[in-house]
Amino acid sequence: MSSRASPSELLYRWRWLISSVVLVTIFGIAGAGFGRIGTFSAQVNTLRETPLEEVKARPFDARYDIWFDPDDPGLQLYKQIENQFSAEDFVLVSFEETEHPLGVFSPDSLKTIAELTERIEKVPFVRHVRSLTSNPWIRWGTIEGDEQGLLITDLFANDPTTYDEAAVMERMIGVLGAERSATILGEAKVRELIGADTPFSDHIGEPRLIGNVISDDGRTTALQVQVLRPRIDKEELVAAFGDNENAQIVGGSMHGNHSQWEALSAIEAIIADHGNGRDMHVAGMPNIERNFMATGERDMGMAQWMFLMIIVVMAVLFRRVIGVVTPLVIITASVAGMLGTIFLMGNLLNNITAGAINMITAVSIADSIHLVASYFGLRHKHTNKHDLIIEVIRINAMPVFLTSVTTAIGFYSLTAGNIIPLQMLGYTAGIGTVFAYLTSMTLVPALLSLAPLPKQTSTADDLSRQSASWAARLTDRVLARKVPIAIAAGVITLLAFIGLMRIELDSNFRTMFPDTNKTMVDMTWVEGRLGGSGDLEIVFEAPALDETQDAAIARQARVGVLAAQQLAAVAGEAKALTPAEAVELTKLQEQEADHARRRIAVSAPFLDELLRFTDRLRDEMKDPESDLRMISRLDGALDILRKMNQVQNQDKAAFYRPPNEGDVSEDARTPGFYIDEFTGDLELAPGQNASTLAAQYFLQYENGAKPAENLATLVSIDRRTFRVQGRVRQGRSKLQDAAFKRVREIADTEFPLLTGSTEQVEKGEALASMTLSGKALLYAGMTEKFSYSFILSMTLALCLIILVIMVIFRSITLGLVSIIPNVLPIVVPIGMFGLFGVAVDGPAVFVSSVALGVATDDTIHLLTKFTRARRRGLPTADALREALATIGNALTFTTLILVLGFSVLMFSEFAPNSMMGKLAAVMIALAWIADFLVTPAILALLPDPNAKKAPEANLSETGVPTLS
Amino acid sequence: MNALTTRVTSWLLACGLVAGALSTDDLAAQENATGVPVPKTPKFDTTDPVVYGRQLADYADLYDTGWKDSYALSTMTLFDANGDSVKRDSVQLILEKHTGDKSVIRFRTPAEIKGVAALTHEHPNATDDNWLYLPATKRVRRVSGANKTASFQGTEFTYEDLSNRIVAKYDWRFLDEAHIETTEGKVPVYRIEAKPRYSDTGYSKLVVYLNREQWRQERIEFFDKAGKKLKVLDNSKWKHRHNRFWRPVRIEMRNVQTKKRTIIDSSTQMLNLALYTNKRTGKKRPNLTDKQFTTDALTGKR
Repeated sequence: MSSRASPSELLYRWRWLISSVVLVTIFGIAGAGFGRIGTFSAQVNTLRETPLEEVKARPFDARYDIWFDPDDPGLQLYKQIENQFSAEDFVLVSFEETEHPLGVFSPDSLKTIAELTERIEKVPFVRHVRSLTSNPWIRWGTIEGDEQGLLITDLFANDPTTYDEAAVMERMIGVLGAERSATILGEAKVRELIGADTPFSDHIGEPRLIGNVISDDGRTTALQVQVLRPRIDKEELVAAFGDNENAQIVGGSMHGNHSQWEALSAIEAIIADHGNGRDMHVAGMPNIERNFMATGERDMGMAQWMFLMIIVVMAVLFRRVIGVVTPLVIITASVAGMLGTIFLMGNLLNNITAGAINMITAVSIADSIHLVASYFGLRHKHTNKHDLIIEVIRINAMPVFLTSVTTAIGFYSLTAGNIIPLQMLGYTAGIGTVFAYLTSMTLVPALLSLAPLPKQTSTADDLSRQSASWAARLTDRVLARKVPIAIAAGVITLLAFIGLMRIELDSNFRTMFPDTNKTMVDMTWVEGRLGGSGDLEIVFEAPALDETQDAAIARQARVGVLAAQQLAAVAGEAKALTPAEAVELTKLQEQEADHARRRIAVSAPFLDELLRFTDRLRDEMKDPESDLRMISRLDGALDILRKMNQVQNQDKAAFYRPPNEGDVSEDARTPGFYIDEFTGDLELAPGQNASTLAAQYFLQYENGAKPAENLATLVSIDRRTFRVQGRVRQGRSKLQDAAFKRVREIADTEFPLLTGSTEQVEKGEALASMTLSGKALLYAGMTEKFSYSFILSMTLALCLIILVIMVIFRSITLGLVSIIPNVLPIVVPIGMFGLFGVAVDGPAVFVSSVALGVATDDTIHLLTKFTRARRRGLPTADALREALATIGNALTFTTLILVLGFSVLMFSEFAPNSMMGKLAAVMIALAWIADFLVTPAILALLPDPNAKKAPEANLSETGVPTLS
Repeated sequence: MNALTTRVTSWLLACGLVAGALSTDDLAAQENATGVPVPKTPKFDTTDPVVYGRQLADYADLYDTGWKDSYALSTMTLFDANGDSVKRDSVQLILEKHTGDKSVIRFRTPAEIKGVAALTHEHPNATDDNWLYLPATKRVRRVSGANKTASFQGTEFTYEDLSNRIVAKYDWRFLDEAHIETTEGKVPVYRIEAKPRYSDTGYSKLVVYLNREQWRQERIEFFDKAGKKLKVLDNSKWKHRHNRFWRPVRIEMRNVQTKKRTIIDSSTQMLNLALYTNKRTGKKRPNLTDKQFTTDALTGKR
């Protein structure tokens, strides 16, 4: 070879060295990357106190919060709730008793409940189990001898089988109330137990339990299991992961997830062994999250089937070992390089980025097939393998480079949105695209040079000639009907755009999984009997006074001293306050009142308004027409307070409300003073009111409740944050979203005192501000953000790609024409969904970026060959014929392989992935149609510069850069 | 003024406490002023860890018998997992009884619960009796004390943690001798396992770190029913009251699972009240009596 060898020649000459370097680099990166996953998994394991299992590589990141914008106020509130209260989720373990007349109060059911409760409580990471046998039963009754008092015990404090029938029935009435119990036991029996004179309405039961641990009809019961996401200290994280903050975050929450799932498995094992053969159903967010993870992992396994499908198709098309082996090597190397790189960068896969494996498989095939196809296609022009391969490199280097650039643009456009998994998908697939290009251009020539030169009369060659003939014939037909084709394409695209405007993105946990999915079957079962299993957090808050706690304590002490002295002076037992002291006292008392009203959990005006609000919501929740029907219950400390007040007032139902001024002892309302027996100090006995009584009732409740049932999870310790927890039915995110919006609407319009801004609360114009959160809300809100991100990233990608095409081909016209084959395949299927009113799962539409990449690939290959032909002076029709004849097979093979490859995804049991497979297959097929039918028709309609010109004149007009 | 009282006084002053009427001068630091001799260390049977563990527990219990009564002004600080905290002040009176201690705890702050008072009569072999006085209703209510696992005022302490640990209610087992780091440096301890024998418990076991020299409980680890470590209690800032009884000024309970914790600082402590003089009146303080631990006493004063 001459010393001025072309880049293609150099690439060929040094192919072994270059290939070795590429392979060693890729496997180096992959080895290091996968090694890092191993190290990381071991680090995660060090967070466990007792590693129960061997360290398994955990490349899957199932964090829930990864989906949300870190600045999302809902997410921030959720994190605040986790920090302030506890980071946990609930799981419902449920069964029914339809045979026994006492329903789930039958001795056998109670025995099962008690046994499950006791065993599940011992499962690590289970913070608490609330069940029919284990829940705070607040009541007034006999404690010892004839001494009556307040009782807070478990409903069945002892072995439930030791209670006689009357005691069991008494508890049934205690829980379900007299009226519901009468439908089970009969009115006479209930009368017998509560006395003839007591009205049924005085026995309201335990609203906190009905629809939670027991159904209205007393036939279904549930154990509400609180499962912790264990909290890891910063020091522990640093000890495990060093200074790597990303690893700390990911590893910390991975530990949390796996701990929850471990608890879940343990619970399931207990149910299986100790459920007494009953049909048990489990529902809750951790189950759904585990389901996502499990299907995600299973879907990663589907890549194998996609591989297999690709092998089969390639074997049929090329009928050559080299034709099958070459693309497979490229796929393997690209995917290994990509995964190695992201693992090395400290990232993991998640449900979305796992899709990058399929996407890069597609890209690798597209890249390598063009090389392999032209190797077989150009065979008849060369007698020498060396020249043939150099020619293959020369003519493909630039188009493959350009298609890689546009594909990468498609992927990187995903990073424009603010959804982290999509950003990661963009980066990941973008990296994969680079690997696919590098490996295709280096390894393919080397691999091709290994195989013997195919015979001149090979089938592949025949194929290529056939291609030339079928493509030419097709082109002729298209050109003959260019006007109708262009009009039809225009109309379809227009309709699709109309549909696109009406597209409804939605997601629904229920329909994401098949009807047979155990998690979903159980969830439906439980929700049908006990209501929602999703969570809603309504959090009320008032800002703190700008002062230290010590300053507040000092002020309180000073108020105590001065006020006591003032009172004692009136009684003649102390010196009167000086005028300065009197002024000081008034000022401090005002501050004290301001401090007190901010402690909303123990402030009567807030509690009264909150009661009105929750009553209002509960009423509308029962209305099957209202958006609020998606919310099945609301719980909070207010209900405990109501119960406490009722119990202290002869259990009369009329007192099931927060205490008011009338409940305060009359002689306690005015402040008094006394001398402390030990210190001899003058002390203030503060005046009592509804707020202080509420605070004292709370204290009294906490005195009797188990630690797991205390107020710590409901009210912040400074009493400024008050949490109302709702149960949300799982279903379409649109419906959930509508319910949350309705809650906000009612609050904003009817309860402005509860929904003030921080400034308004600060000024005393409102009692509190309100924020909604919860996992169900976050997930539901995500769909809307998906639409925004999708439109943003697709628009961005299209503009960039068109710009790139304009620059490459130095033609604005071609750039504009290229919009059609690029946009049509994507817009049409999605637009049809909109047109026919079918809701699309948010994540599924993101396959559009792959389709866009592939569509653009096709277009660039077509336009490259077309402009090259035109540069030689061919008129449009001939140029099109030649272009399509040249690339016909390659494009058709790629399309066929990708369509079949992605079709495999249709069999995914995870609906969004299945939809992704279908969409990708349809879009890629449409891209083929666009490039073979629509683009030629439109190009033929444009003015033809070569119509009457001599071939030489156009040599420099539309130069297409090539490598040689 | 001797070294110890100087230290105590300056510590109290440093804390800015209202020590006014509570004299600490009477702290007879040089000699055991209580008249209760330190029991002779028995010959322990170290062959059987179960026997040895029980003997150690018995001796530690005996070592801390005879203090008669106590008075403490305490600040409870409750920390949530974020480290945010709130403080509550209370006064605690305890009367030592062979038939079970009696105690009253009365809240001083925050203002809305000032005057709330809880009375407890412990029973070694039966359920404790509890009463609660609410100033807003001006009524004493008997409250069911069946639930020893109940949280004490929303703190990390349960009633079980705060009540006297009666030796006979546990199965003891000596684990080993060790040294642990405390705020006062390295301390030699016996590690003893205690498994509750009563059913109304929140724990599967406790591990008690008993000081080998002072016979005081430096640390207790609480294990939940699943056998996982739940809470750790650390006693610190020890005071040798009357040169006889060891009392911690600070008790810290950390929940290692939820990362919440509660600190009780007893700024002012009196042990055996008769050994103190009321500075205001100049008279000797009387010991506490049963009368101060009745429901009437609970209502009478706020």
